[in-house]
Amino acid sequence: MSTVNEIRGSELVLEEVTKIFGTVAAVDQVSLRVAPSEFLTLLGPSGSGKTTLLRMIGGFLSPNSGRILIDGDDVVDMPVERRPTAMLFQQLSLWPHLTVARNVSFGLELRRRPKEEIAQKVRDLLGVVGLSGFEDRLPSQLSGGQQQRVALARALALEPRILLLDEPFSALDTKLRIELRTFVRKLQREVGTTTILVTHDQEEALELSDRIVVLRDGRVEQIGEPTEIYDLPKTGFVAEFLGSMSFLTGSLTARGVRLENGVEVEVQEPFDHVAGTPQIGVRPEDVLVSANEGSGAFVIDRITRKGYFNEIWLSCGGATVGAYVGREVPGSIHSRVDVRMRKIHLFTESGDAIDLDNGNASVAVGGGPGEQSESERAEVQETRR
Amino acid sequence: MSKQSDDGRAVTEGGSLASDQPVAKRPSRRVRRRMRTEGKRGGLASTLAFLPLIFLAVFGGIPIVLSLLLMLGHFGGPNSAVAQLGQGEIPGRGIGTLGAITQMFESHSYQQNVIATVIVFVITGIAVLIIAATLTLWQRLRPSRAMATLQFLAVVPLFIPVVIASFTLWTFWGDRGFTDSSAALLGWSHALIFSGKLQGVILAEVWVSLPFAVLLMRAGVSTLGDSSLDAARDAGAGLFTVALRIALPQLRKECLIVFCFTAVGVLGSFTVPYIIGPSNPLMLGVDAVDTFSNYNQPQQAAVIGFTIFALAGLIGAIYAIGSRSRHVNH
Repeated sequence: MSTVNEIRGSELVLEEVTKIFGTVAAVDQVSLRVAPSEFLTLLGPSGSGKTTLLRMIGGFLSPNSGRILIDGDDVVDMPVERRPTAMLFQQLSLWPHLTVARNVSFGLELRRRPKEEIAQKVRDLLGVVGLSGFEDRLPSQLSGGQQQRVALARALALEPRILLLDEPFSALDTKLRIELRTFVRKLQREVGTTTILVTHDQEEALELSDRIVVLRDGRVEQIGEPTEIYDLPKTGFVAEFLGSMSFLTGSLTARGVRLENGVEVEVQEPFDHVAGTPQIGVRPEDVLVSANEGSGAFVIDRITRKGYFNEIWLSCGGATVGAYVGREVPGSIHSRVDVRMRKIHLFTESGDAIDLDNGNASVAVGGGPGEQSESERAEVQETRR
Repeated sequence: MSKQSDDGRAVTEGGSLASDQPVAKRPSRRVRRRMRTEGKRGGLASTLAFLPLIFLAVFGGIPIVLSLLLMLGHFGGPNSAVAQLGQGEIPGRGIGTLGAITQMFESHSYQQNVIATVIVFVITGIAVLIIAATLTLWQRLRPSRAMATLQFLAVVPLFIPVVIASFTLWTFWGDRGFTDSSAALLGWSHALIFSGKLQGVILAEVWVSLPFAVLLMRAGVSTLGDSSLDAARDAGAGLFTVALRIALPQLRKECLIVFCFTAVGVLGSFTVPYIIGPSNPLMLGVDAVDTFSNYNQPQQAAVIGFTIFALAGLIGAIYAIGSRSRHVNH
């Protein structure tokens, strides 16, 4: 008798998959490979094509071109009901007229499994999702979190080789969402099924994923591990979407950044030097704020309390920078403060990260606090790699 | 002089409580004015709520009672004028007589009429339900331009007066009508004539009832969640399984409304069975008019009226029971 522990993950390969609605390419030549048992997240804003891509993998939509391979088999022409996938939907999708047990067993009944096996499997799965004893309840008698757990059990009952999660936590309140996503990740590790999650919640993506695919306008903007994407965003869009980033215009100096109004801000970590006026990105946790007896170059415009820390918005001339500070804010609204930066990211005008290794920017002088030797620069670039 | 403590009780000069009973404070003038206004509004609301009841009692309740008395053989009072003109009346004494009812139900032709009416409204109700559910669900599960066009066409009869439609249909599938002529070309003489037959009544009633049913089912189908249907397909269900095991059970109330409203509509219809139906058996609506106007038998017509009323009540009971019971598949 099979149990959930016997589900194995499959390899999924997308080759130049394209989906066009009218004249708009919702998904535009997307290619990627998902390893067996990997947890991959499709991350992007509304309209980026992530759900369309997921629905094509599930068979609910057909691509206009490209191939979708599961363990090497092209499944583009395979109908939904025959694909080795199962989907957990954004909306609570339990069938209201069926009990919890019948919701879970529905797919097994269609596969004409023996009654004893179905009953055993329903018991097993409800146990796995922590809902033993809820067999005879109706969906309307369950909370949102419990309903999604039943939906997860229903999806796992099909023994999917690829589990598709279409923003399954978004309909839940914050506490339940955190609980359920932790549960899903734990279960996915135990079961080992390949899992693809669609979300626009960066926190969810960073917490759950082995790798993240950032989508924008139907195209892949960047693929990588969560820390890699966070630390080395390839574009300004990725940098802004995953985490938060303020952008400044100015020039680079030996010690840091000179803003358009002439104010110089020190940067602590070494950085690559480029000529001209690149887009300078800085994450709020890399902005260091000090009171300096009320005589700094930056003015506090806004303070947002976030519980155990504060987010403050600072301005200097036309530049605006966000910063995270602890419980103690070094000043109040309209106070003048000093700003230093721990680390900066450089982007071209079109928003691409300046990558000296690929030669898309001209190298100027050394960097960081003081001049940088050739060996130091090589070391920095090695670290970046 | 007594003051008041925080909880509203009177306190003596020395500070002790004057009594254990709270002192009733007189509401302020503003509060009293508001209470008066609210009282007036409440009275107006009650009057407005009673108006429909009064209307129903005068124009529905009293005629029903008079008709019931007429049926039981009470020919005095407001029934005297009708009774003087009527024929074949069976007078009752005391609480009345069931003579007219017995007379009608012992008549073979009346039995045939009742059976024919039941057959027509049951078949029409089921047919309309099946067609409306098929059209709307198919379009939802497998959208196509052809099905969208059919759905649109199904609503068109709503804008055609029933009397005109009935004459048109009578001609269309009558003797030497379109269907008969077409069948004759294929060598099937008189094979597709429905005018003057119960089949014709059923077809025409379906035609007339379909728009409302389609609109109602379409509204119901639109409430089905995409994810609910997608999840069924994901679980391995084909088109028919999704429709029969997932969608229709969720549309149970809409199905019940479509069937019951169609059945009641057909039961009380006159134009379609009068123009298209056979002369024997008759639908009860036509029979009631015939009995009252042509045979001048108001007491017997009242019996027919109450038969229709009883059948409608039966359909109403089916609707009430069906819509209240929770449908659970264990």
